[in-house]
Amino acid sequence: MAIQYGGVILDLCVLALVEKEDTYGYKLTHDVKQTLNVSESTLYPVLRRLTKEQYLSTYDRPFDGRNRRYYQITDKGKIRLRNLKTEWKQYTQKVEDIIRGNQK
Amino acid sequence: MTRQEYIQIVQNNLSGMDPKDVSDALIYLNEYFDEGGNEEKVIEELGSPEKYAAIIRADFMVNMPPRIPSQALQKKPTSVWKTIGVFVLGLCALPIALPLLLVVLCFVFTAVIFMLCMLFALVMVLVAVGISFFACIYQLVVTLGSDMFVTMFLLGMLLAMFGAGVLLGLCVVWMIRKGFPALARGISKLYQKLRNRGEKNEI
Repeated sequence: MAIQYGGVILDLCVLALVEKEDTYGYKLTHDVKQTLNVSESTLYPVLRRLTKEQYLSTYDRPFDGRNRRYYQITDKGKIRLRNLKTEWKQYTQKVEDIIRGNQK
Repeated sequence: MTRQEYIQIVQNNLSGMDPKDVSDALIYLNEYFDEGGNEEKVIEELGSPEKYAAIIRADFMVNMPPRIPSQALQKKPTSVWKTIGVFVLGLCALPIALPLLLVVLCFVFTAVIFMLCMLFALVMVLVAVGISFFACIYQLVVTLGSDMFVTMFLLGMLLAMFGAGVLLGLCVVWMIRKGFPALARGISKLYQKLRNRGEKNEI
């Protein structure tokens, strides 16, 4: 059974990737897909939501005679990414504790 | 399926959403096709257009405020039809119901009048008894000693009057305290019964 990457986990991944490098929809989707098993249709809502919540901003660059919409992380987005990283660490730590039987 | 068809289906399935959201989604989708190059490959990657649209809708709907589902509001129209149906039914039942209702009303009316007359009669008799009582006393006092028979007669009458008066008095009291309320309750019970019948028919 594959672990589902839902909700905030995708936010975390997308923000982390965009922080490293401004990217556009198609490329981002394929980068995520290389590691995680998500479908293309799930990425768009995530991108849109993060943009609406102002964690990401967009700008257009002409490419090959057409427009390419790039996504860029905002300052607010960087703070959000930091918080999500912390949460993720705590979350995985707890799961590890249970698995290893280190429950308190 | 061609790219145009795919995008068209997605657009159709996004109908009802905010137009800005729809156009943003389609811009993204068009770009995606542009980047992807090979139409078929992209369509294969994206999956069914209906599903693609559904996932976008689902994500958007989650962030929208809850709306009252239309089913909850539909209750109103059915009750309008119900009322009309009941009205028509009532109209048809009128030829039988109306005379019946009249009979019941007459009966109730008669019962009330009867009770009132009874009460009136009792009171009258009581008054008569009272008058006779005092007349007897007066006569007794006047003729005391003159005629033994008359005296005994009057004494006897006095006692009878007294007894009758007490009895009648009790009757009147009973009528007022128990009789009328009972009649009133009986009438209201009857009224309730008729109403319940009517309500039962509505169900």
